[in-house]
Amino acid sequence: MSPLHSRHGLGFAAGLAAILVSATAITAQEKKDEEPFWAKGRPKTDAAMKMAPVAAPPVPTPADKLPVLKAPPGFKVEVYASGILDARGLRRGDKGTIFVSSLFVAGKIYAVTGEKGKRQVKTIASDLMLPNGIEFRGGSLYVATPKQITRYDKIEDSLDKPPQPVVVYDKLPGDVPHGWKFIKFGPDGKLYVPIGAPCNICDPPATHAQIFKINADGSGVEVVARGVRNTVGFDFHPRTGELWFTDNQRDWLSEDMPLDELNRITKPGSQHFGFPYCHSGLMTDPEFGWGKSCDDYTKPAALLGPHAAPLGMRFYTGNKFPAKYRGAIFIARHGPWNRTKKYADVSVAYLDASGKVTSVQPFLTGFVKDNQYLGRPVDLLVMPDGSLLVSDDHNGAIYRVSYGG
Amino acid sequence: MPLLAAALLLPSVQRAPAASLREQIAQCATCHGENGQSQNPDIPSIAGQPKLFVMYQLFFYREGRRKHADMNRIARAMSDADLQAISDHVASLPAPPPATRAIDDPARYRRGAALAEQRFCQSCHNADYSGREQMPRVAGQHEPYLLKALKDYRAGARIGTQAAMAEAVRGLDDAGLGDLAYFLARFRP
Repeated sequence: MSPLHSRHGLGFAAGLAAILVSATAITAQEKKDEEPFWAKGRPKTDAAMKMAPVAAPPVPTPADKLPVLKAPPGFKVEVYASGILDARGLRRGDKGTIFVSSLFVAGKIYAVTGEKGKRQVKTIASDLMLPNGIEFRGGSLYVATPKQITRYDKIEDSLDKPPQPVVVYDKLPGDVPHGWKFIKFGPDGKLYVPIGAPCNICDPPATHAQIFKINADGSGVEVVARGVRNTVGFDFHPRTGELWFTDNQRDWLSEDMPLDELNRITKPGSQHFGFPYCHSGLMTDPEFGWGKSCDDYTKPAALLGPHAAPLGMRFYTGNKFPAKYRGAIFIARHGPWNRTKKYADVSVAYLDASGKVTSVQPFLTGFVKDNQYLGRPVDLLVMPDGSLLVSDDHNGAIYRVSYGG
Repeated sequence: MPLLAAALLLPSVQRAPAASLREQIAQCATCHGENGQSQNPDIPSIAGQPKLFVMYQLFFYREGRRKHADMNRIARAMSDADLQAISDHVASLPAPPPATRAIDDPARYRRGAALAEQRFCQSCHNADYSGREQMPRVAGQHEPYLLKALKDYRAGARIGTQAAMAEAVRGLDDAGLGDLAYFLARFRP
């Protein structure tokens, strides 16, 4: 029963199957013969068979047990806030409140207030479905779940008794896989919203694998980009207004492919970024890529590493970091699960005058030890004082990175 | 179910930690069986489940993010320390012996096995489906319970610590989920 036998023809295979169907014991050899064509290349070694999403206990890490992170010389890293279970998205209110979203574990929205030493964490919404996407504008906090976007008006005046949310947009598909959101207002005043592919790899319906934008009241849907598998972080270039986004590529291809992407939208509405046909601008998909060419899709602006899970990204718009960081993009690499060798950090993508990425370098490290996650960065926020906040959902904490005195 | 009702009314807060823990553990046995091995096919065996899995389910019940009236009520009184202690205890119980249920429909068993391979079940749940970390042992679990869990994941009524289960069951019909439950409940290494 070597695999060669199956090439003797369907008649033989069918006969063999008929004999085996009566047997109760399933042998390894038999399973191999039955492997469906699209599962070819799936992991077979013990190492690969041990891959699974990584979960920390559902308890935030005490401040004195948080990992000691490293930044380049001259930078200081401190704990900004801890005890925020599943801390994910970061936004700042006009009055200085730091709003924090969460995802699978907590299902909550938090508000962090107060100065250092007197900082308080309040839960302002609970029992939400995967409320990863938040945004703040005009005194209102916007919260996006896979199903809908809501708005909490004058939220900073009522953190202890938040108002009933107003529904802004409720026509989202509501999928669990890649249904959670990252949302942000653009310089055009529109709210940008992604709808990820509802799968690891599939030919998605036209409603999915895209970024669209709407007016602040939920009207006027316009598609901005297609072929986007799952973006959980984007920002607008502070000078050109162009939308840049991170995109998480498919699982299960191999340890080192595909490479996750940093993308740049230069022609809103008319670019396709490849999913599910082309990954990383480099390779066609082994199932969906036949008859396709990577030349037909927009190439990534930069490659961010295999299964890197790049999430939040921000242009550095402060003026406190050294000159080379100004206008560069900080990117949180949450780190892979679908890869045996783990890594995670906050990296920096440096841009030249024309907006080309010249290099991507690690900036904040110390999230991995002995191939285990000590922490996992999710979102970033440039503060008015020029410091950078970094959320960590593994520990339920927020770090502050500052430069000089 | 007078016994069950009585057990559920036991106050579990504001007691000496040891007594409280003992009482909470006694409550588990009321439904999940002596030593965590359930005789009721709608209720899962919990003995020997990975600690992180148990801790997460208690957490989800406490937060109301996994729905079951009795479990929600019981878990609501648990502190983070209780979650730790109870999940430690449950994980330390000897796992049930391997499944002995008859494979009375071999074709169905094979369909379930093929689906489990296609959907990468073993990558997370281990080659022998014994579970680890936040992922439960599913080998030998009660079939009706497994089927309900799979349907809940498909419907989004249960989500878990990641989207992995939603992706795993995506697009499967009731027959497919039934085959998977049949196979796992009877799994032979």
